[in-house]
Amino acid sequence: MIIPVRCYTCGYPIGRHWEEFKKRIEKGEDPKKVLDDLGIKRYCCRRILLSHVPLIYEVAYYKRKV
Amino acid sequence: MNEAYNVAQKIDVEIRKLTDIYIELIFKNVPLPILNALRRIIQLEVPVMAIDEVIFYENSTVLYDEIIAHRLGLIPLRSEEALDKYGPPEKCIKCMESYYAEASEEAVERPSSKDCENCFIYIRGSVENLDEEELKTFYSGDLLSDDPDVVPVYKEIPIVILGPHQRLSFDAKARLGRGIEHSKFSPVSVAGVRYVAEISTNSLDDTNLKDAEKCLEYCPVKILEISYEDKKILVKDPYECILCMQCVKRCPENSIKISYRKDQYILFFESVGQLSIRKILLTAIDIFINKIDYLLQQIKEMR
Repeated sequence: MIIPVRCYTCGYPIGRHWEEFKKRIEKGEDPKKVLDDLGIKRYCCRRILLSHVPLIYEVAYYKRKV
Repeated sequence: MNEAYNVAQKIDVEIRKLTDIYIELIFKNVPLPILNALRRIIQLEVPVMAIDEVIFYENSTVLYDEIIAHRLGLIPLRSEEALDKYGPPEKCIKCMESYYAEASEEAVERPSSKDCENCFIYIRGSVENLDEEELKTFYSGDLLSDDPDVVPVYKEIPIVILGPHQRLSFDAKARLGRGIEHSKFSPVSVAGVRYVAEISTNSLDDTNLKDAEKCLEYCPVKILEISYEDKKILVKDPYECILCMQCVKRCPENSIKISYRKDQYILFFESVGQLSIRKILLTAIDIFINKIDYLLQQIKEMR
């Protein structure tokens, strides 16, 4: 849905890297290189960014009108 | 008395790696249980600030109140100055409404509002997406704190993404807490103690020199080398060794032996950002000394 604030496993604040990660992936960079540049070493943190599906960008439009 | 536990030997601490958020320390002649106690205190007992209670006034975003409250709690808040400014977690937890939801009403006495003066601060947030089509992201940097010393460490964590005409406003209470209670109050992400390898190598003969060359590729940390002059395997940095034993399995018999040292251990931890490495370590040692003093005092009273 939305990027987690922290890594589920180790508690590293992973959410802060999301915007830059997304921008660079959309440009077509290799995810491995981007993750290394961001300094994300552990595989528990890397999988959070790699496997994330940002559904909220689509869902945010479909809210009941209040 | 066990040789390794002889306290009379000189205790020595050496910094092996140090960055802004990560440290590796080599402890010499310190017993493992003591180091593990220190590690656990770093992880579970050093207090840090975090948002604990949120009051929502309006929330028309697609995320539920509970999800947003949880996300707010996980945001690291700067606590370097807060440790001296705010009351201890044991006292201040009683100033939170949520504390009484779990405990039965009669069992605990509520502190007066005067007791709670230095217990928490308000962190406020309110946004409205006025755009007709575009989405708007609400970042941790947009939070307004009453105390300029207690602000989110990282400004670019997305808290919620608002669709057109959606609104969000809330007041949040932040207080000191310990990792025992909830891991959002832990100042470190990883903290561990590991063994130091003791690597001994025997000289090789010409027949298995080639085999040895191949087997060194299996070392995941690449600390082994071959010296052709001495016909021996050389170790570059034994502190890097992770004791995976791949080289022992793959190399010619008896060419390399690995065991662990009983007089040296490595303590490592990585800060989340609320406190500096130095502050975490010093606070943990203070808490450790207080605990030992308390234990001694209790033993004296028993006599």
